[in-house]
Amino acid sequence: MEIDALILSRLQFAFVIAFHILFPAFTIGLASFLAVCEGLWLATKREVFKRLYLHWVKIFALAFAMGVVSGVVMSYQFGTNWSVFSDMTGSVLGPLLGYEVLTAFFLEATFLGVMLFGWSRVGNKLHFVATSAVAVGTTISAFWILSANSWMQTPQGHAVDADGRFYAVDWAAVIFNPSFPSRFVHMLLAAYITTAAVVLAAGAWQVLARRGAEPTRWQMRMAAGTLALLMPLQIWAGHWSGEVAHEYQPAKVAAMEGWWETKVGQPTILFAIPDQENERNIAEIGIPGLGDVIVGGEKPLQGLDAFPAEERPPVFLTFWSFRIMVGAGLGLLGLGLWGVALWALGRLDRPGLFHRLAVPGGALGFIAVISGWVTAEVGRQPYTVYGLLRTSDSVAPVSVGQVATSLLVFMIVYAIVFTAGTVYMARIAIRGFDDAPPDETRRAPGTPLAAVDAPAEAPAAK
Amino acid sequence: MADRFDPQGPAPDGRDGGPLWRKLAWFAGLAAAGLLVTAGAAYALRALLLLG
Repeated sequence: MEIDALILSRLQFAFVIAFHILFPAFTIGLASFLAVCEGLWLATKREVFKRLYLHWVKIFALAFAMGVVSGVVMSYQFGTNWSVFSDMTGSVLGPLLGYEVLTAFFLEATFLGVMLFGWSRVGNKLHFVATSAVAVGTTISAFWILSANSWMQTPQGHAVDADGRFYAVDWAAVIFNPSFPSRFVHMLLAAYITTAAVVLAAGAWQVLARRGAEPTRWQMRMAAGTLALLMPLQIWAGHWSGEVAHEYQPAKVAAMEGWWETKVGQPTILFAIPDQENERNIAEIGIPGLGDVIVGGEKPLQGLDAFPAEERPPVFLTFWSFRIMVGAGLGLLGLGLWGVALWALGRLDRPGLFHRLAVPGGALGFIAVISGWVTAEVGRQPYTVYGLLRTSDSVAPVSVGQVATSLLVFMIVYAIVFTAGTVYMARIAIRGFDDAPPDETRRAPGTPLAAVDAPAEAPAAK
Repeated sequence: MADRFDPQGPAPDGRDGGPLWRKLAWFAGLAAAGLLVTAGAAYALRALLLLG
């Protein structure tokens, strides 16, 4: 593979967005979890829900801030690395991203201050309004971002002028493009599941460390129940998304499934090493005919031979990222069902194998989100706007040296900033609810790290 | 000082923030402050484009 500005720009965007997506995927779910905890506290007046809220709201604030910072970088990359793409599609995508800022980000940012610093001043009900507004804002944000990305996957409602620039002629058709509903549902569920996996992992760590308290038990019950409830829905939503992709992006589905030939009786391939050059799979293990059963529509199902070589996505990456996503999802389903079974048996707060697996299982949601996005974005290659604008025609006139240098800087800065942030969040998350604060202050008061030494829940205002 | 930047819990003793006008004033004030900080940061970032 030749290393040019195009491949480096793609790598750079992939690197930045892979970091960014971790935070919204977490905060969308966490904002709703916080709203549920506060709502339950208001309804039941049980202290445990207030303690859960005050514990997780610190992590939410950090993750929200890191999500904002990592998101801003991508906006600039549209101009620096993808200026031709921005020029061609700006009339359609610019307003969608603008609506995201105006209707979602400002809603979140406006009420975040009330949520973090206003509880004792605005009272319980108004504070709950602020928490709910932030949760709704994160969901609206996902709505616009998924709409914009889905338009790139299944464009409609636009026209193209003489210079090749896209402009909207029917905004409703642009926003509610064919792949948007299924992908929006799939992403929202992924966010809730990712958060549930993290909350479960933190609780499992506390149980293993013999620091489990009543909030620990409740957060594990809520997380395991969420996983068990939402994972079957997520499998359905993923299948729905796949059906839409099969209708509008059949080459993507052929690459995901590793189908080289168009034929009746397509298999479901469990393992293979796709060899794109020779158009075959090496060491293929599959179930013959199952592909035809799972994927609806007319038969025979198209294989990659139905598309010219220059119209096919990279098969190895699409094939394996899809399997990693499915594997991570099945792992989460297993954890959820196992957790609910232990809850029913009254053993969820006793350390055991489940808890040892649930701790690393906290990463499964993030793995599934990233691998799912790789499947979606690599699978729609070689286009940025599917079928209309090629990726190679979207890149800015930048040099290899410029992109390589900025990519290196991103890698170094992100490694430092996001590692520190993630470690900091993890330290707060795994701390027991009944842990006494340290005897001595080890960090400067008022600094971010001082909060690690603070009690698990912030004291009420005097 | 550290407490000032920590997330705040509800008012103790069930006081729930005092009279309604004061709670609404705090709500509007904090929301406006959040809005202004966000807008300020956004315009500062936008101003970076002028450097080029």
